[in-house]
Amino acid sequence: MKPLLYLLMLILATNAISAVTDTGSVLIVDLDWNNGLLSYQDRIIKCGHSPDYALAPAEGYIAELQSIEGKVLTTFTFEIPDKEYREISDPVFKSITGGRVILNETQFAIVFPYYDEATKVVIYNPRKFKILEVPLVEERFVEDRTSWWWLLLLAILAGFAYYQYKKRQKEVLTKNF
Amino acid sequence: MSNSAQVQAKPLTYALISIIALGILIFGFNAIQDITESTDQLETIKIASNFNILVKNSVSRSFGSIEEHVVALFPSIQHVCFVDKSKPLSPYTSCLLNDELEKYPDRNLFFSPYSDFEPLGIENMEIEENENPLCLVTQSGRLRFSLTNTGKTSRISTFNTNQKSSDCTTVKYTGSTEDKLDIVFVPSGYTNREEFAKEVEKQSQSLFETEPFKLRQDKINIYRIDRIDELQCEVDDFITCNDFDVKKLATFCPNDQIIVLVSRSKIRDALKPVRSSSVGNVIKLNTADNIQVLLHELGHSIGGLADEYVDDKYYSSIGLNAVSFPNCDKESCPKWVAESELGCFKGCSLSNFYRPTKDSLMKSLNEDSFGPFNEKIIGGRLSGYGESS
Repeated sequence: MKPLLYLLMLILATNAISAVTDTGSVLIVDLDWNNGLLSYQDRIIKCGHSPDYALAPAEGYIAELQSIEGKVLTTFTFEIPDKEYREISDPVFKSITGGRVILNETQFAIVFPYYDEATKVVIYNPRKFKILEVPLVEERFVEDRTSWWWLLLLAILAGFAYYQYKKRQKEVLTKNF
Repeated sequence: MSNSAQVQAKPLTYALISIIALGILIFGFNAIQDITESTDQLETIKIASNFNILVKNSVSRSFGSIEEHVVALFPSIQHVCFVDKSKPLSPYTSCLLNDELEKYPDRNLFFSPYSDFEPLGIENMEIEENENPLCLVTQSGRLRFSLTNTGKTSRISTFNTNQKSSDCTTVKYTGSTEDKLDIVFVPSGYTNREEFAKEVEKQSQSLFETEPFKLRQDKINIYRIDRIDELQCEVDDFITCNDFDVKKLATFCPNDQIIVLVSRSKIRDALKPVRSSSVGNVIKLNTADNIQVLLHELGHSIGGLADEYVDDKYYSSIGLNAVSFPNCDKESCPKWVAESELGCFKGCSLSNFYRPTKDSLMKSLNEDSFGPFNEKIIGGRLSGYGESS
């Protein structure tokens, strides 16, 4: 009886919805750009600040954070950071040398303000074609997996109890006959 | 019971006994954990009581008297944060503390990790306005702090600035982050927080001495991240940092523009010079290089300006179209010819393009200004940010 009670308490506890504030958190998505192909690498949701994107380009790739209904929670434009300036100065002549390097492959991260309702990140190319979709749903359901142990235990106990019950019933019937 | 039934029942019985034993072990473990947590909570109450006694004793002493104390805490307590709610709070000291402050409006002593310890209250405590809240790192389970009698209260502080813990330190604050260009400095390769803080101060001063930033100082907030151990950039011919790691760190502060300061000694840099770099909104700066290199890189990052020094061999090999940049133009300079103070000087990334001034920070570091045209371009990019609020 007691294990069953504990199990019920655990199920109730793990099903409780924990409130996550929709301000003060950011989603950082790690991306890889390789010869024209954009791919997802990693992500993290953490306490923090996102840029205001006031300096974002007018045109470029579009990043959207969407809810389950497809509502756009936040969006901004960005450029693939495949053009890097690498420069050095001469201490005597105070000249600068170096230049702008075009990268065929680069790793970079984009930062979103995070919302509870966010379920996916969608990225469009400058022609507005969707090129990447990153689901976030499983991120929000990291529960205590030990609750599943109790369900398994209960199932085994229930199965054994049923087996014993059926066996005794058979024995009783056999005795009576 | 028949023989076959007996044979069948035995393994099942053993399995059931094993499962029950495992269940008891797990329950027992959880129960012990609960007891341990309760004991920890009782101990933190004792800690708060000790703090209150120390503060009370300090208040009873003569005005201005200072004492240093060391308090033993649980090894699992990483930071202790004191909050003076009678004074303005910096919202950036600890991201997670802000959530705790909302949850516990009547408490002023917080222990990190916040989820493991309930916060408590201390009476007659105050903190200096420029370090409120005050978060201190514990060392081997011990917290060192000072108490200064200020009359009716006791001011909590520390003599050891390395002990202060802050997600984000405000260097210059002019207003709400939504309206300002937020610049954050992130350290790499530093062993000393003071050294990093000094470098940030030096770079910020250089920035605000140069137009168009000088005129628009009230549109800019400056922050720094004091976590000197967390980011390790690779230094070879140029600086490479993992952008995911940079953003994970930089996002502790508002971060429209990120500047990674990579600590290098001048001697080491003379033997093996390293290039600074700028890509997107991240600048990776070799601090051994000329102080004006940051300004040049900000010209690229914020202004979208091209290099005005010429490298025909390289730039023609990559097919650079210099005219696509605001500060380079074709012969006769139609982009700015109407502006009398500007000229049309040969050479802008490539020798067959032209630039608006003879020299500027985008050409060399002999000039300490961007020139009027480039200043206008950069100023225009900053126009989206408001005045001080």
